[in-house]
Amino acid sequence: MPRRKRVAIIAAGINKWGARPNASFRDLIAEAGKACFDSNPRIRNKDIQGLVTSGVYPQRSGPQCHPSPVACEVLGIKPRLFQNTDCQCQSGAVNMRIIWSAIMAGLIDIGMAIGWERILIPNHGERYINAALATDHDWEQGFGMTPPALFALPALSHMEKYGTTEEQFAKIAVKNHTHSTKNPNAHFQKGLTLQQAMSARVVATPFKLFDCCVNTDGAAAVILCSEKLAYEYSDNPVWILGWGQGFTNWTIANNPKDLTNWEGVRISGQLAYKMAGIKPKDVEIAELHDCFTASELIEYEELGFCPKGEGGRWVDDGKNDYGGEVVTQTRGGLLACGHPFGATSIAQAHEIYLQLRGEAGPRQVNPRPNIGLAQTMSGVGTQSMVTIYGSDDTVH
Amino acid sequence: MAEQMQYYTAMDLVAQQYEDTATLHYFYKALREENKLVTTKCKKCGHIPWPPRQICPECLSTDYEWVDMPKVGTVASWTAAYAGMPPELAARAPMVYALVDFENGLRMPTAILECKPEEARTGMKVELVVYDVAPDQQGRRRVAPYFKPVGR
Repeated sequence: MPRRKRVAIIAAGINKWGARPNASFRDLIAEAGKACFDSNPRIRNKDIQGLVTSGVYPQRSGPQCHPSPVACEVLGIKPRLFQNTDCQCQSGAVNMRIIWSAIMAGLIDIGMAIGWERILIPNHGERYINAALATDHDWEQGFGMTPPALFALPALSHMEKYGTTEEQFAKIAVKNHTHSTKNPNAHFQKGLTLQQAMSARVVATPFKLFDCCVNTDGAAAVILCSEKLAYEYSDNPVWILGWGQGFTNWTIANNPKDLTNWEGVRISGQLAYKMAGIKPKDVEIAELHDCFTASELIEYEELGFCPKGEGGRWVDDGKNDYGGEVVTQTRGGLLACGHPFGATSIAQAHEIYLQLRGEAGPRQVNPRPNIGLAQTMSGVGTQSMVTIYGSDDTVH
Repeated sequence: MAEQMQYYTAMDLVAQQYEDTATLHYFYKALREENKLVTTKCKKCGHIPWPPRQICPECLSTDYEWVDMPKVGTVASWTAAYAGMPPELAARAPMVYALVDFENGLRMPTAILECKPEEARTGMKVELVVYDVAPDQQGRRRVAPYFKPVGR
């Protein structure tokens, strides 16, 4: 199946995610940037022509505005294209697409996308005020609904409409926490039993503690390169085959009436599949936006891995795990790795880069996959971005 | 409370509600003084959006009038939140949050007061409660459109 070479990932790095109270945002960027350069010694910092940072809360958690030149100086990069970007939880994917676009437009040949979040600030109240900022200030923020409550609403609807159970949600958390036992960069690496997940304290019904991802400090970086130079820097580049971004609405009030209809996710998948020239059945590994267990389940449906309403059964049948139809969240997902907003999509890219090159160590999918999909989302299924990656074997 | 709050704008989740601070200030005047929930209606194309809009999202007209929202709504989905909320709300946990549907086709997120988690259910009928929230920087009263089970 011949596909066009356009832009490839030729280096990827990540730092230790978790509670990192002693790490400033400069420290997080330094660690992930260094790890990225260390992943491919053929590339030096002086080679980088463009640098985009993605961070959602620098002005609250630094506080720091205009963070991209900080990253340039920390990493010794003098780019001719630089900016920061914030698209909430999609920020990292949007970041990579800015570099991709600049390469496609011929402005640069090689650029770095680096995302981070310093989110575990000491004051808990401040953290949850920050969490509420992802809703509309003028009309919705004042109710103080934060993501657990917002995502609990479609979870209940999915249970009432399709008979999905809390245990099926919990099985997703168990899977992802099991995967992260083999990921030394994950926030949580101790694993999780179904009994632990089902008996954990309630956060927002029907979600219990392990149904929810966690605020995490962390960073990740990738280097993207034009087809022209990709093989100068890498013998085994991973190609970006397609992008798709979907939008239905912003205010919670205007989400689709059927809360289980995540049209924004569906659109993002359809656009990316079309651009990449693949079907859902071609996807071998997927990094999905499991901010909550129910999110991952609904995403299986909207991305075409299983029919609408059958996400719960797909979980019960183990189709989402090693040996199944699509191996999901090999690094542990947001649930077990944590969710430093600006870094999450880039960490997904890092994981797919490792898997498609056969370098994922004890969590490597075998046989080595050739097609990977990553999806991140802002809003409750209403704004989503999908990226499809192909190994060097999939392009000609 | 307002005068004690540091970094007032950056930490303030509540909308501004008066003529000198908000274009659509009548929405809050109706809540405060008439105990009434209203929204805008486009005088050009008739579109009624939620939330209220100064520009019609259908035809971009700026010519709007205020219309009353239905008195009673129906819970489309709900959750009882026990954790993860901003400070003042966390002290009131568990909070029942819901999406409320109105017979004019509009829907809004809100909190359901006077309702224990075990009493909440999809399809429950709810009515408006004008609830006092943190005052603004000048110390003026601010309110929010919360709901409660009908007849409570």
